[in-house]
Amino acid sequence: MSKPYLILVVALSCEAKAIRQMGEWKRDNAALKGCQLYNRSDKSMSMIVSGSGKIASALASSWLCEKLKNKLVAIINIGVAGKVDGNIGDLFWINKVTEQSTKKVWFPQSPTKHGLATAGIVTCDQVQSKYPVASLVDMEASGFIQAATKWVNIENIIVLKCVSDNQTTDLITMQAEDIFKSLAEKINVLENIFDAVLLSLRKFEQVRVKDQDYANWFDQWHFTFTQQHQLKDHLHALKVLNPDMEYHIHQYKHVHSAKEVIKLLKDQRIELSGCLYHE
Amino acid sequence: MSKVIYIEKQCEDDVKAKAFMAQYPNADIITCDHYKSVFNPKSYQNFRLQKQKPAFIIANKQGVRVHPTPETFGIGSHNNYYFSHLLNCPYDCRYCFLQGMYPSAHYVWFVNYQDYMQDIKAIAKTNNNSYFFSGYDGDSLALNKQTKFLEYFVPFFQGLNDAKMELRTKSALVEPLMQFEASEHIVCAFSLSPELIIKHTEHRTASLEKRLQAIKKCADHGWPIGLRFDPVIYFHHYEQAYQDLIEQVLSVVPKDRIHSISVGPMRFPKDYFVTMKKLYPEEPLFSQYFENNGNVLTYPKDIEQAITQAVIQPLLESGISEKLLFRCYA
Repeated sequence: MSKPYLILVVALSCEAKAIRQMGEWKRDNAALKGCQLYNRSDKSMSMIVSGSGKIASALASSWLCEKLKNKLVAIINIGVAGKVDGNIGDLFWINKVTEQSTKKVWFPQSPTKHGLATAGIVTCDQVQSKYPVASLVDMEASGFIQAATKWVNIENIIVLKCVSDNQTTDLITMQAEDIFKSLAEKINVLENIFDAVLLSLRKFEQVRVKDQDYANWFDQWHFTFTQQHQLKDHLHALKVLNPDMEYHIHQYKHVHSAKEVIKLLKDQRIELSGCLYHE
Repeated sequence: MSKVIYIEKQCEDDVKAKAFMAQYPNADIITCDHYKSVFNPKSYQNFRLQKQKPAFIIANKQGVRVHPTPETFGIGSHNNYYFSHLLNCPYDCRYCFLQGMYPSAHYVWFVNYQDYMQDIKAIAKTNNNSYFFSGYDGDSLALNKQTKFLEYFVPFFQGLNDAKMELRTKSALVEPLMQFEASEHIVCAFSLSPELIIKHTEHRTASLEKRLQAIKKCADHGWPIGLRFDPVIYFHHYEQAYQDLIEQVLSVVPKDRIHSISVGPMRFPKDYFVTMKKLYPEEPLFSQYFENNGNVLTYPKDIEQAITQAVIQPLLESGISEKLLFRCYA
C-alpha cells in the first residue's frame, strides 16, 4: 500500500514561510519554472509555491499532482483571503468554491473532522478594492480545485483560508510579514489537521488485489486481445474467490491453446462461485 | 450521517426541510443552485469514500417525476410506475446497482411532495389499477424519520381509488405504519435473504430476525405483505439456506396476508457492474462467473434456473398459489 502523502499548494512565499515552521523542509530545485518546491524531511508532504492567481495555482497543482501521481494523496490549498467583516487570523475550512468570472462551483468535502468554522469562497481574477461578496475572497482557490479534481477525488481535496484583510484593512500597506503572521499563529491547528487528513487517507485507502504477472502466460500461449482480457479477468476473480490458491502456467502445461486455458479457468471460476461464503 | 446538508436555495422555506435542519443544529448548511452541482460530477467523486459519510442534499425534483417501470418489473398490474423522493440509501448492499449508477453516495431528498402527488394523481386517473413503486432508488422506510415520506404518501394513496403503492424495505422501521389504518392501497414489501447473505452483502440493514418481526407486525396490523426474494444469490448450500428462509418467513406471515411474492436471480446492468467492480475489486460476489445477456450480466442459465427453483419450489410446496408468484429476469 502506498504511504499517504500530502500536497500543499500555496501562492506566496510568506505563506510557505509560515508552513515551513512545521517540521523540517528541504528546498527541491526541480520545481516548475517560476515556482518553489519544498519537501518535508519526514517524507509525508510536499509544498509548492505557485505565485498569485488561479492559473498559476492550477498549473502548480497540476504539475505536482502529475509528479506524485503514484502516491496516495490528499491535496490542500492553504492561503490567505479577504472577508469584508472577518476577524484577521480566523481560519476557515472552505466548503464551497465559486469562480466569480464563470460562476462555476465546487464543493470540497471533508475527509475528516476538523473543528474549524466553515465558509464559502469566491475566487476573483484580480485584487478587489471592494469586497464583492460577504463570503471569503481570494485569487487562487477555483484554479486550484479545478486542477486538483483531475487527479484526486473531491473527498481528498481541501481548501483552508486564513483571513488576512477586511474592510478596515489597507490592502496597499499590508505587508508580507502580516500575511506570514496570520498563518504562523495557526500552525498548531494546521499540523493537527494535516495529521488527521493523513490518518483518514490510510483509513479510506481502497483495498487493492495484488494481481499476478501475466507476461509468462502470454509467452506460453498466443492470446488474442479479447482473450488477454478474459485471462486477466479470470485470474483476478480466482484470486479473490480463493486467496490461498496460486494459479501458475505449469498447472496448465498440458493445454494446447489459449482458448482451452480460458475454458479451464472459466470452469474453475464457476465451481468456486458455488463455494461462495463457505464457512 | 455526515453533518453536512446541501440545500437548493428554492427549498430553504420548505416546511419539511426546515424541520429536518432543526434536527441537526450543528450541521454545515451549504446552499446550491441545483442539486446536480453537488451530486452529478462523476469524474472526481468516489462513491465508496462518500458512503462512509454521506451528506444530505435537499432539492426539488423538476421534470418527469414518475416513470414507467421496466417491462420485467411488476406484480400483477399492466400499469406499473416508479417514483423516487430519495436517491441513495443508508444501507450498503454490495450488489446494489445504485453504486454503479450514481456518481455520488450522498442522499438526495426531493421535498416537493405535492408535485409528485399531482403527477401520480394524473396518471392514476387515466390508468386503471396502477402500481407505484417507491423503493427503486433507495429503501422506502430507512430514512422516514427524516423525510416523513409515509406521513404524506400513505394518506395520499389511501385517498386514491384505483392506485396502489409498494413500499420496499430491508429495515424493521415499521412503527410509523402502525399509526395508519391498514388498507389494500399500500403493499408493505420486504426484501429477504438468508442470514448468511445479509451478513456478507447487506451491510447496515436489519437482521433477518428483525425483518421477520417487522413483517409479523405489519401482517397483524392488516397490511398486505409483499415478499421480495431479489436478488437470489448462488452460494454454498444455497438450496438449504433458501428453504430455511422460506420456512422462517411463512411461519410469521399468514398466507392470506401475502399480496405478492417476487423472485429474481442476481443480475447487473453491464455498465454499472464495471463501475461497481472498480469500487470493490476485492469483493468475492463480483468475482463470481456471469454471462452477458444483452448488456445485463447474469449467472449462466442453468445456475439461474437452479437458484430460482430453490426459492420457488419450497414456496409452492408450502401451498403458496402460483398466482402470487412473479419472476424477475433480465
